[in-house]
Amino acid sequence: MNHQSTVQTYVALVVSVLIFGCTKPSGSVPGTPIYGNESAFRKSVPQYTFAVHPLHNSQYFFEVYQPLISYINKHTDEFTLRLEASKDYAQFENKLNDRIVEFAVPNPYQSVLSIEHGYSIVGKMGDDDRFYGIIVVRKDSRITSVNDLRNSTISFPSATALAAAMMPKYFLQSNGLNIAKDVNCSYVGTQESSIMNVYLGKTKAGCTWPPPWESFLEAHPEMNDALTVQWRTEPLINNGLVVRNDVPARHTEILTSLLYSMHTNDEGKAILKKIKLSRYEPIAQKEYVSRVNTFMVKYRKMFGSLPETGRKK
Amino acid sequence: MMATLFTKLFGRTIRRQLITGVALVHLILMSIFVYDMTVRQQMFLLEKSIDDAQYRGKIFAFTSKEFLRTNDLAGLQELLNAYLQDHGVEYAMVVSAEGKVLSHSDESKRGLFLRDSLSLAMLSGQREFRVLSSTNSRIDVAVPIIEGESLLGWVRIVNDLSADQTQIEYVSRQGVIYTAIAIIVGTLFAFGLSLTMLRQLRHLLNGATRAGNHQWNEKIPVITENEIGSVSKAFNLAMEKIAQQEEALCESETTYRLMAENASDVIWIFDTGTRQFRYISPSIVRLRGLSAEEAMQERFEDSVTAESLQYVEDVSSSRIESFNKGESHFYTDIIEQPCRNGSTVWVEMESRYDRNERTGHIEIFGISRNITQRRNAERALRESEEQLLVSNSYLLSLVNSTSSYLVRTDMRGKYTYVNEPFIKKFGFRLDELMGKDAAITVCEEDLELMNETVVHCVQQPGVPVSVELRKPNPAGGFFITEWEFTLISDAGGVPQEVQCVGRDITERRFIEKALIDSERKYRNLVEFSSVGVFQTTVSGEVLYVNNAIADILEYDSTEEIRALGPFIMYKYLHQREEMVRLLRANGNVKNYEVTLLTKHHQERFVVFNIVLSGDILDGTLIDISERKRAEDAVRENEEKYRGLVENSPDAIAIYSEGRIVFVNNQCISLMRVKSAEELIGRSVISFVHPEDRSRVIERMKNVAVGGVPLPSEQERFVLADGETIDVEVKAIPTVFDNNPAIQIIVRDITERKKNDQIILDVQRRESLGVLAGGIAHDFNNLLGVMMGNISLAQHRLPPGDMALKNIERAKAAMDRAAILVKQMLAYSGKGKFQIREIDLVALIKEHIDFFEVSLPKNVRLDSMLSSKPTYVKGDPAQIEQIVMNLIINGGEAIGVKQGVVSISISSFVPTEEELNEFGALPNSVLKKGPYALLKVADNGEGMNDETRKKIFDPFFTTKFVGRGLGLSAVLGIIRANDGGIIIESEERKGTTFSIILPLIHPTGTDASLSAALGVLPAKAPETNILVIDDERDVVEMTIDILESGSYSHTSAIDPEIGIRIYQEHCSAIDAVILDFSMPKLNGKEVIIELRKINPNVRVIIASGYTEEEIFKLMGDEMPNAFIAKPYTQKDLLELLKKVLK
Repeated sequence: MNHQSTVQTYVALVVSVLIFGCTKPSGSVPGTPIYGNESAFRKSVPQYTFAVHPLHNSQYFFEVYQPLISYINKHTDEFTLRLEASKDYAQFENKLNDRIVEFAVPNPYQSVLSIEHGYSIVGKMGDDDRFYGIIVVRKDSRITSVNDLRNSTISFPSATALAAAMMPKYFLQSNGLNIAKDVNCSYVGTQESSIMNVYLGKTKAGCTWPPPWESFLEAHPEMNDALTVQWRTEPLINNGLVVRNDVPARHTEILTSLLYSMHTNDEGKAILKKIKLSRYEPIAQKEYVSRVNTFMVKYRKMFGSLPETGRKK
Repeated sequence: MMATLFTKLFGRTIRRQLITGVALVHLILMSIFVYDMTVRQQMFLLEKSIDDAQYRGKIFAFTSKEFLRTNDLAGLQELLNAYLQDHGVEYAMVVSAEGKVLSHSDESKRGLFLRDSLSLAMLSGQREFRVLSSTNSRIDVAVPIIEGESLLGWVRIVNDLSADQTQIEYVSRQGVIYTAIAIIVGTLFAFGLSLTMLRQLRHLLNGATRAGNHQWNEKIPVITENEIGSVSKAFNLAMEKIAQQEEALCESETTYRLMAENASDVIWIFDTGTRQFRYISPSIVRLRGLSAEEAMQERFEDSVTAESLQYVEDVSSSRIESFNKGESHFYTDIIEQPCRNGSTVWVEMESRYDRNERTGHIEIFGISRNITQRRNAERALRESEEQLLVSNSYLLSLVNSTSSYLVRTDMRGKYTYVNEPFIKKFGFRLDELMGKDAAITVCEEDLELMNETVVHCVQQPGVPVSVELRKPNPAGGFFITEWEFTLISDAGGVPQEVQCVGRDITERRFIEKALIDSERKYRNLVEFSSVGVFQTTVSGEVLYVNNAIADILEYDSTEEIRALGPFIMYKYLHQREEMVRLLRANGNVKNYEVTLLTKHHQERFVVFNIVLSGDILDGTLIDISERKRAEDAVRENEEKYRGLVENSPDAIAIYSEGRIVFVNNQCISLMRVKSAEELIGRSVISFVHPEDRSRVIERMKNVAVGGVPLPSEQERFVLADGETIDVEVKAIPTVFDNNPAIQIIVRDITERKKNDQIILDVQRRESLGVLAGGIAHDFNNLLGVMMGNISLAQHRLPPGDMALKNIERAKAAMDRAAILVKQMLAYSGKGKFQIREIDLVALIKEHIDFFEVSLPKNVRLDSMLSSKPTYVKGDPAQIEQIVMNLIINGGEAIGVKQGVVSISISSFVPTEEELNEFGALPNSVLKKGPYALLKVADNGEGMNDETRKKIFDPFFTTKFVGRGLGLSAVLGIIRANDGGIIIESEERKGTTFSIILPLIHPTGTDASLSAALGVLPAKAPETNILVIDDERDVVEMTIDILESGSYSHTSAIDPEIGIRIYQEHCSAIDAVILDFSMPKLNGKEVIIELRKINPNVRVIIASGYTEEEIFKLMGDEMPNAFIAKPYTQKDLLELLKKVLK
């Protein structure tokens, strides 16, 4: 073999390398998801939504109420509950207005209004003596009388928050302040926001009610040095428990019986303690409405109208 | 088939192999590299994509939680849409825990349920991040949305990875191109490499071919320096050596051939198997007249005579047998061989047996030498010996002519021959000896020795035996002779005679004995000497040491020292090295001092005296350790005494030949000169006070003449700076530098004399005090009687009696006497005092007006009193008297001019030195601690020293009319109160009296302090109020109000006390009611102090000012409340309630 043939051989080697080396690798694409109108999981029991008016931010709300939902789910196999938070009062009220949730714990005013949207009041939270509004100020604010709030801003979670807005407003108005003229009302969405606005100095006073106030201080003990409860309102009946009218009566009965007996066992007590409630208790819708309306009448008389619900969407 | 083809194509030549190899290696390595890189890139991108998807999914899951909690699906969809704007997401969705699509990038899918197996596996599986599927172009991941322990739903994201895949394909293509380039470059490189390598290999091949043809000398050209080049070089070197060896072999062969051919001896090799000579050297022709070829063709039997053949045959068989056993010998035989001319030659034949490996036969290697002539010579020698016997008589005469003795005896010991010198030496005639026993010529003591010698001769025939024998001297005594006995035997070996050859060694023996005696004598001298004697080599070998060295260095024997060598004994080896250096330079060393170590490591100081002879050190060693120790002790003593003298507190000087020759440090210090040189050489007298000089000169004479120490005497010295001091001088005769001298010890007693004077003064005053006290006591009693009786007489006399005036005068005189007695008692320190705790400041302030009016109008009284109370113990009346006395004295000292008397009170802690000054005595009894300092100063005339010394004397006065005991009483009072006094006075400038009295803390608790300062007691605190007001009535009224309101209270009428009370009890005090206007500190200043203690102190200011005025005055230090004076019970209690709320 001569030199020429050797060179040709090597050239062939290099070319083959280039040819084989440049072959495009092939790839395979797995199948995309398959959708259907029905769940692949067999539905054995119905699932209901359980909503509570926005006492806390949604994360903390889930922390304290999810155990309650788990407790119910654990003790019944006829339906399941799903907890649903609301980012503000308006959203919560819309859920009632639109009948989105099956079970709810609205404040007394919302409870009464929910009847118009096809809900029934089947119970309420206990501890009526703790259902009152409190007005928080900074300790260094030198606010000693209601008149000191004149020409200042007061924070409220929502206009429809009964204990945290309507009752404090009534109190202030009763004590000589003209809410409409003398103060600027700031509706900040949640109970914590109402308090934090005071701490940050954005508002002179903030309104809330005991359970969120106590939870707030537990989470921020340093606030004790800065904030103080300057006034508290007279108490009223506590938040109601409402159920959508299309929920089977048996399921309502199961739910209420579980709720009303929670305070009788340790597991239930621990859950209620977290909610800062001693018990859930039954009440006749008529009685509930009557007690709430007593205040509503006074309120309307003082302010001329009641606040609208569920405006914001 | 393929292998054959491949080998044919690529393996035929090294060049092809090399190029193919490099190309294949590049192909394989680069392929692996590119493949690995691509796979890794793919894995990296996939992992990155998974991480990225996981990260994004978790973020999205976290963000969507809030929407799920509140079931805000619209918000969730908005969030998802926002998320989809991110690159690389193919589609994404949020599904509920049941698989319902809550939001989706394709909104038409919302509300549908996932039903494929992959999704169902996700929904029913673990609540954790998972990769549902992944290919090169897309990755499908799922992230759970968990709230507490609840599963809210899943986020599912499918990312498009096509961009990554494009990147991987690009990398792969680049890798293939790099592979092709690498193969081409490698092939070219291999081709170039093969060109050089093959060229060198060709040269190597040619060289190997030439070597095969024995062409050793032609070298291979080396054109490269690589391994083949090295092989070529090694090949060249090997060829060169082979050529050299071949040449050497040729030379060696030629040499041996020439040697064999030209040797006079015949070299031959005989094959015992064929019985033929294999080789015979050409010299055979000289031996036997035959040529080598002829000799080799000759039969062996014909090559030797018949007798020799027989001999050779006899010995050969045994030798072959011995060789077969493995023994190897050289054999020497003498045989006779025939020559060509018919004659024979005697041949000495040396031979050795060996086996021919080729034939297997035993061969004999031999050298034959013609010894015919030697044999003929031996024969001739024998003939000559016979002729020698003939000349025996001649030898005899020769024997007789020597100085040595030659005798022979037969075996019985009878003389058979004696030579002339023997006969002459020992005084015998020949006939008296011949045939006689040899014993007659030997001293009896040596007969046995002689016989034993003969026996030894017989036992060793032919061997001379030496012996020393004494032989009688005809002149008396004996000769010492030295003999050699030899046994003479006949030809059959039978002993015939004993031949004795001797000589006289008497004189040599005497010399030797003398030498031995001398040597012993010196040896004893050396051995028993206390001086060490030694002999060593420079290198350190000990040749000799005597016992003294062993003793000095505590070794058990001299052998031990010799074994150890000298080096171990030197403490400092450099001393020996230096000594050897000196020895080499000078040949000897004298008194060279070194430190040796004993066997037990003790130091020995020795002195060497050594002479160097060649390499030998001969020397002596003297132990001077004791002497050194003694010297050290002397030196130590000297230093000790020098130290004592130098550090003596007394000045010491040596005075010799009319001048100072030595002074110690204290002397330099005492005389106030800078150095000893200023004193040395001067006369002592020059320092003596002129008034004392004659006395001192007389004393010096007495010491010098009498030679005994003189007792101490007080003198005065005038120092270098001119000051005169009192000294006590002692003079002691001594010797200094072998000259008589006087040691003068001087002690400065100036201070002592001053102290002595002070002690005398104090003692005098104490005596006076005792005297005054005694007189006053007794006189007081008498005065009491006198005053009592005069009072009685005054009452008994009728009014208007003339005597009443006299009695009044007497009574007035007695009153003055009573005052005087009181002063005398005060001076003696025995007065009746009412000692109690008093505030000196308050006391002086209380009487300051009184003091002022006591001074004349031209004198002003200035007071500088501490703002704080200054408590001391004492009688207030006495203290007042002290101050009054001093102030009045000050005023009088000023006289008629304008002047100032000042009084000040402060407190301080005096030092020990100050205490001594105040106590006026060294080691005063004044105790350490804080003192109140009372100073009364004037700028009057002052006092001279004389006055100052007497100022405390009773009844001493500089005034025309004295007023009694005066300052002496002051001194007595101060002394009685454990105090002290200092007077500083300068003429025309004034006088200052400084009095100290021990400072005390008021006894008891705050209650006592309060009592002293007007503070009211407090109740046990509950709600405790501190009242600070300088108005006592106001305080009491306030307390009544507080008690009516069930408040506990504490109070102070001094604001400083109030602050102190608050400082100590602030935790128990709830509020302070504070007056604004107070003398020391106003309300604002008090609040500042209180807030320093407790910033949160609650204070109510009480004042007659209006609230506005007070707040203006308070500035930043606002009180918690204000109450206007006067206030009612209701006002105060209500305000308190408010403040305390």
